[in-house]
Amino acid sequence: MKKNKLSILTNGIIKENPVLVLVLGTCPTLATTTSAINGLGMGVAATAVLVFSNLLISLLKSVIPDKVRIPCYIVVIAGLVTVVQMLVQAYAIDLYNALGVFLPLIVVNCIILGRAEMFASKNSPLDSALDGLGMGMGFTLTLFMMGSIRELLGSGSIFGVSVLSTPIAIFGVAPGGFIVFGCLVALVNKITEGKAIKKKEFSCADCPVASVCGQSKLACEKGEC
Amino acid sequence: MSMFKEFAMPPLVLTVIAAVVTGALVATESVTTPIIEQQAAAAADAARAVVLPSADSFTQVTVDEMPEGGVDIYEANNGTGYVVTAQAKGYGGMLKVMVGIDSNGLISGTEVLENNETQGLGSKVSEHAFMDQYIGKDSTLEGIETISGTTISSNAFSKAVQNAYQVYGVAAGVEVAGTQRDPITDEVKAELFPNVTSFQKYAVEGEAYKAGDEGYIVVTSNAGFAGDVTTAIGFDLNGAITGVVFTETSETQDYGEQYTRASWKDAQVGKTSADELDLISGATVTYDALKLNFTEAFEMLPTLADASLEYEGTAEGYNGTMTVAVGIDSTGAITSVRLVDSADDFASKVSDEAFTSQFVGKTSTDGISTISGATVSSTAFIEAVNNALAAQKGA
Repeated sequence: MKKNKLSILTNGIIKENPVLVLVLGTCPTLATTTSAINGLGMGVAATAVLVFSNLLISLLKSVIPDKVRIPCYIVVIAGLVTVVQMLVQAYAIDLYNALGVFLPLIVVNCIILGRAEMFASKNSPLDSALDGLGMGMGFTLTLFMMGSIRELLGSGSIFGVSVLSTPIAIFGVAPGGFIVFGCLVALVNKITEGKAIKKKEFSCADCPVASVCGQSKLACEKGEC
Repeated sequence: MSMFKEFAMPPLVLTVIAAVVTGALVATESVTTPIIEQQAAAAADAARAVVLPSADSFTQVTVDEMPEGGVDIYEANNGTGYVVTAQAKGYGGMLKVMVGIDSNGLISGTEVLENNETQGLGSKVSEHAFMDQYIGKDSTLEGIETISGTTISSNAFSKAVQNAYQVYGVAAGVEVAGTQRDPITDEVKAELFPNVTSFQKYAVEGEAYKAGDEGYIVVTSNAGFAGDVTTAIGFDLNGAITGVVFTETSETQDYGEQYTRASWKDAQVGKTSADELDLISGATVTYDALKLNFTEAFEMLPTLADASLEYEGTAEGYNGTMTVAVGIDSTGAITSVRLVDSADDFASKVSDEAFTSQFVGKTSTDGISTISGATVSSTAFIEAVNNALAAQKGA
């Protein structure tokens, strides 16, 4: 199915928003959205990694054998994140200090590995790059929104400028993060009227390890996997 | 698929990809590492300038035996002081602090470099609202107030500053006075020796008392798990423990705290060596501190038999009453003089060694010269010493 270039890009913003619809990358989302600027910084860094990792993996998709594709993806992604980390530390030390441990943690951000597996391994480099950009934008947008809400309610400030004198501290910690997260998921569900992502029937054929799974095909089709 | 394609290709491809990625990492690292190191050095220099504003630039001072908790020390090139980086164990890890010490030995500024303390509580020690009280203080850190709810973190900050002073002392070649601990109260003395009515302080390094004819009290302090553990230990005339009172401890409830219970304290009575102390399992760090306390106390005991006792004398000084503690030996000769309390602006002058050393060995204050420019204060000091001498004669 030939997807139109623009739709690939906008896909990641609402319809298949990686955080609110695909529910990937929840960990860094909750951790870095204590303030708007941190969420924004994390989103931009992750987008950079996403675009290039998708591009690289798409370029290498015919070279990487199916059996070792997960380790190969991980080596590429980890290498990419480490390079980004070194560059950010050298040229943007303030962002580096703000992101702290979450910069190297982009390696295990499910969105990156998820899109490599779901999209980049099956599509052209240009499409993959666009998908990476779209997903990254959706991620950044979500992080920015969550960060702004949590910063305003939890610390009473906008971009570090204090505006409210009585913040509700719970929004600065995990429980409050989950509350905001849940509300945003509900909001997206409402906007897309529950049709955001086609609910697929998950059968053996869709399983990522289908090619190396030991179960017999017959048992699989009977649903006894 | 051929055997080659199915089994040899996959690991081969993975290896090649790994090699290429490694190459890219090495290349990036060689470009960025110099920049990162330069930035770190510039940031450290900038932090030093904030902490010691009067300095122009810094040179590192190598210290052969870095005291405990010291990280590094830099001297200001224009001679206005030193900047020491030191650390102490806090609640969530090491608290690293940069301390600026000016040429008078007073703190010019502090900055926290590494704070892993609890967010919203111990993290506050990094804030200037807390740190500003240190500016202008000397190594005794008198009058420092901790932030409520952050005992361990606040104590760690003070400890780090003290460690910084130790490094400064070694590098600058000066004597650094430790923090003053309040002397033990009469209640503590009475608890250890209920039948003794007169306790006399010994003029020694540390805190020790003569408990009438019954024995001695020695007060020692060492760092435990959550701060200092200070004990007042009572000894009989044969050097055996008669009792223990904890005057300062914040050890963990049900762990180090168990040592403060009567069950443990009573069990140590009669022992003559720190090696005999009972260890409570699960509270080793506190035990180590206690063992040090007892060891130091036992070591001090033999010296007390010949030590001079301290007598206090007061006189009216420049701004108010001046109190002096004089160590006088059994022949009536002065062994030491110490300013205890004074509201005088010239207090530092009368504490000067050139003045105080005049008293040592004398049995009266005849012939002691006053300090020019501080006549009233030094005259008061001499009068106070006279009163102390009189107190000893009458005692």
